Order: sequence, then structure tokens, then C-alpha cells
Amino acid sequence: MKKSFADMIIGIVLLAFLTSLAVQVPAIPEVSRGYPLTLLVISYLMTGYLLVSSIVKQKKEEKQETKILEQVKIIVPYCLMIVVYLFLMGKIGYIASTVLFMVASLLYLKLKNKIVLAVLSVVLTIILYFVFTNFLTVILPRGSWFNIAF
Amino acid sequence: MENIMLGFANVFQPNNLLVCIGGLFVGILFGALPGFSATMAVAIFVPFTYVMEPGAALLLLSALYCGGVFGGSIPAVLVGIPGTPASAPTALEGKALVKKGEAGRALNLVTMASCFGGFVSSVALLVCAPLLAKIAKMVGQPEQMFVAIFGLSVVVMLSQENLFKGLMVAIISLLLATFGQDPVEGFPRFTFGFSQLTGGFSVVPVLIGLFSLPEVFKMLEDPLGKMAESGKVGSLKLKLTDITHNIVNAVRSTIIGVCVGIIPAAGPDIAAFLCYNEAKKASKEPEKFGNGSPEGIVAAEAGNNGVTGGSLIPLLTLGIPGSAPAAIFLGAMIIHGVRPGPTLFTQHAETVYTMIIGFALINLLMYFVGMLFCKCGSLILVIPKSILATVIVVLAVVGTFATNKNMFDVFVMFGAGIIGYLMLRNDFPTSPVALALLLGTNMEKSMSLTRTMYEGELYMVFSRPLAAALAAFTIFSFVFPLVKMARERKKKAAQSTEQRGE
Repeated sequence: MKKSFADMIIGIVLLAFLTSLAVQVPAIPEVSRGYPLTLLVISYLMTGYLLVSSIVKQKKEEKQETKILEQVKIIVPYCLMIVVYLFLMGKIGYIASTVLFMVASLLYLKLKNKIVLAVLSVVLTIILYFVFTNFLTVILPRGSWFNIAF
Repeated sequence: MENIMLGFANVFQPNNLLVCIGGLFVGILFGALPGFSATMAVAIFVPFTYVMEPGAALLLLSALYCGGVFGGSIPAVLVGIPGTPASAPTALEGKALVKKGEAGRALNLVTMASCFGGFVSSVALLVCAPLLAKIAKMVGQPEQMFVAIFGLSVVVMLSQENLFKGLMVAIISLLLATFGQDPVEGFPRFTFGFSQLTGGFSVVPVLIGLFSLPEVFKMLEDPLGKMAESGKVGSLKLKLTDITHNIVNAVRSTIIGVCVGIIPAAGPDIAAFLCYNEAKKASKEPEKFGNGSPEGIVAAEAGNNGVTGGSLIPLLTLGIPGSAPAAIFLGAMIIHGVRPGPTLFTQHAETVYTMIIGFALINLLMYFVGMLFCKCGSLILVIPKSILATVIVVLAVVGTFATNKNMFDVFVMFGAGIIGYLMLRNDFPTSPVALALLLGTNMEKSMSLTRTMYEGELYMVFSRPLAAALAAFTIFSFVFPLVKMARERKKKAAQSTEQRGE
């Protein structure tokens, strides 16, 4: 993949993001508008420059071999696993979701020693639970479906 | 003097001593693992400080910071992989000593020089910070505006490899800092309908995501690998000459380190290389440099640890975070109601002196904790990446939840982590995000109040001598790195033309 291609994609995404902000500007009272508007205009100009320069570069640049596809294949499922973990935290509570996530993560990342896998998942989860609830007085998420608590 | 004594009394309380030692253990561990850093350690552990007294919280963060900077030198010696860029000269010399079977001696030198540099830098912090704070008391809104802009000029220095992308990240991050109520009128902006965004982005979750998850994603690219393979440590004994021949070297390097630390953005890496170079110039045996020179190790380590105390001087007195860990420090201080600036040494004297005295003690304790780590240094590096990655994700999630006790922040942290990874992969620096988010609100507020003060006639700002001086300083700090870069490019171009001619 050409390196400037990534910059081009980033430029397009940023333009879309800046536009989503620009449509909200008229709703802001004039006294609160000046500073963010100035930053918005500068951001547009810089993003525009990034986009144009990456298009120009792309024509001249040669293709480079990258392992991006292999990386995507590993990282995207892992990110999905984190999203599921965060979603489950509100449904089944901190303890069950964290033990599940740790087991799934260690299996996904191919940790061979199953004893370490089991012990680490349970022990770390419980240690963190006690540290946060008893010492830091933070009530960790409770599940709405069911909840394990001590 | 009374405050200093109070600081001593606080630091030596058993709880605080435990916090210092625990922080050092964790900090050194984070520094020692290649890819991990002092910044990551400080970011992940900020939420753990919420229920602590401000003094204890700052002691924990200081211990993590100092331990993290020192810890980077352990893999540098044992496997020749610098845990942090600041340990690169140490890696060069350490590797050569390991080949000679003197890994233990190299590690002892590293530990001793690091403690010396860190301790002297904390004395400098104790002496210089209150003096600078007195000058800073003359700061009004216009001056604050220039101080904030000056703080942002750090971006220029942090992004020298890709200045345009660095500036772009800073500007867009300043825009992100405007999310939520505006600091003067209180009108909510860019909330996208989320009530959680009315107060703007919570900075700590963003920083946790930005500085921890990208490293996890990088580890995933090779999850089966261990951090590194390392040899045996051996005897940790030093020769007497290792100490006697290096006293002047250590003092010189520490002074350079402290001065570099005071300059925003000139971090431990610059100090380490600068001190290493100076030591080589001053050495009677410069030919030994690169072949296992104890002088090289002492210079680099005293220099990079000298930066730790120095970098806190502008942070405590002017509220300018000169580096990414200092920016997270600033965020933590604000959360604890200890706002850095001119009034810090009067309004929060007890807390700030506890931190400074603790900083000195931490650097002394670091010798003992550090030696323990040196003995089992090779064990740290065999922890599988799969375990590290999983543990970091859980710590980041739970720590972020503890910040405001809501899941929205956890999703923000996760989003920041993904964006941070994409930024790293595409050469966009992440440090400007931390600086802009922390300085943004202050900058907007002081700009708005200055405009009101002078009723639109902004040029009148320059009638204030301190504001004019700060403005000149700010312009210089933006222009100087640009001129330096242009000169270097010209020099390189001239060299390549010469080579072609030959």
C-alpha cells in the first residue's frame, strides 16, 4: 500500500468530522463562537492541505510492502472483543465480564499454559475488585442481567 | 522552612513511604518492559490516586515517573534494547560491558548514576521552583494567555520529525478542547446530543487510552513473542575507580540534565545524548566510548534522570507541562484541586513540599529498589506479551471507569486508544493531544478575558512588560526550532551535493 494513501483516507475522515462540527456552529451564540470557529477554519485549511498533498504524492509514490492486512486480521477481532467486554460489563457485572474477557483474550493471544490462564484471569480480577471497592471506594459496574459481588 | 519540615513529616509517614516504594516497583517494571514507558505508567495509575490525599497521590505519580525513566535502562544493558529512547546511549555502552561479562557492574553504575541525577534534580526543584513562583506571581490574564501559547510551542519541538502533522494534531486537539461549556459564558458546544459531553472531554480517560492501548495493539502484531531474550546478570560489584573517576562527570551531566529539563519539550532523550557527548569530549579515554565505557553510562543516566526534577519546575510554577508525563501530572494535579501556577507555593504549600521532598526520597529509595530489579532483571523480560496486553487492557478499563464512574468515559478511552494507534502507525505524534487538551481551556479563557480587558485593542497587551517579554519568548520558541530545522536541511543538502560531486 502507498503511504500517502493512508494520509488521504485520514484527510477524508477528518473533513467529514470537521463538517459535523461546522454544521453545529450556527447554533452557538456569537460570544462563544469566535475561538472554536477560528480553530475550525485553521483545521479545515490544514486538513485540505494534507489531502491535496497526499493525492499529489500518491501519483509519484511507489507501492510499499506492508503487513497491514495481517495486522488488521489480528487487531480488529481483538477490538471487537474489547467492545463486547465493555457491553457485557453493564449486563453481567465487572467480575464475570472481566474473567470472561481475560480468558478469551489470553486464548486469542495463544497463551499455552492453561493453569496460568485460569489463575491469572480469576486472581487479577478479584484483586482489582477488592482494591477498587475496599481501598479506592469505587463501586465497579453491576450487571443488569445478573451480578456477582462479594 | 516550616513548609519544608512539614513536607519531611508527611513523606516519612508509613503510608506515604509504602506509596513511594510501591510506585517505584511498578514504575521500574513499566520502564523495563520495551514499548512500555513512564508516560504509560503515570497515565494508567492516575485513577488509583483519586481517593488518596493530594500529597500521597503526587508521591505515587512521582515514584512511577522516576521509576519509569530509570527502568528503561535495565533492558538497555541486558539486551541492548533501550526501554525508552533516553536509554539509547546506555544501551550502546551496556551491551559492550555485557559482552565482557560485566552486566552486573553496568547495572550498578546505571542505578547509582540514575539515583544521583534524580536526587540532585529534586534539590534543584526545591531551590528553583519557589524562586520562579515569586516571579510568576506577577502573571495576569494577558500573561497567562502567552504562557498557554508558549506551552503549546512545545508541540513544535516535540514534532520536529513531522512538524506539519504535529501542528495539525495540536490544532484539532485544541478544537476538541472546546467541546462542552465555553469557559466564560457557559454555553454548551459540540455536544452531539450527549449530556456527558456538556463538561467537555474528561482528559484522563483520553490520555489513558492514547498512551496505553496503542502499545497493546502493537504487541498484538506478535503476541507469541517474549519482550526479549537476555543473558545472566552476574556480580553487581563496582570498582572503586568507577566512583572516583566519575564524580565530576556525574555532577556535570546532572546539571545539564536539570537545565534541559527546565526547557519545555527537551526531554530525557536529548539530555542523555547531550551528556554522553560532553562526557566523551571531556574524557581522558574517549576511545573507550562505544566499547563499554563506564563514563558513558554514568553521563547518560545522570543526565536523563536529572531531567525528571527539572521538568517539574516549569510545570509547578507556570503550569507548562514540558513533556507527556508532565502533562498527565498536570491533569492529576488539577483533579486533586492542586492547580499549578504562581499561587501553588502559598495555597498548597504542604502538598507541593511533600511532593518535592518525596521526590528526593524516591530517588534515594530508587537505588535499593533498582538493585533488586537489576538482580532479577532478566526475569522481567520473559513475561509473554499476551499476558501483558491483557492485563493492560483490564487496568485501563477499570482505571478509566474509576475516573468519573461511568461507562461513557471507558468508551472514550477505547476510542482514544484506537485513534492513538492509527496516529502512531501513520506518523502523527500523540503528545500534542495531551498538551492541547490540557492547555486549551485555559488559553480560550485567558484570550477571552484579555479581549474584554482591552476592549478589542489587543496591541495594548504589549504595554505590560512581562506580557511583552513572554510574547517575545513565545515567538522565539516557535521560530527557533524552525530555523534550526531549516539549517539542518540546508546542511544535509550541501553534504549530499558534495558527495555527488566526489
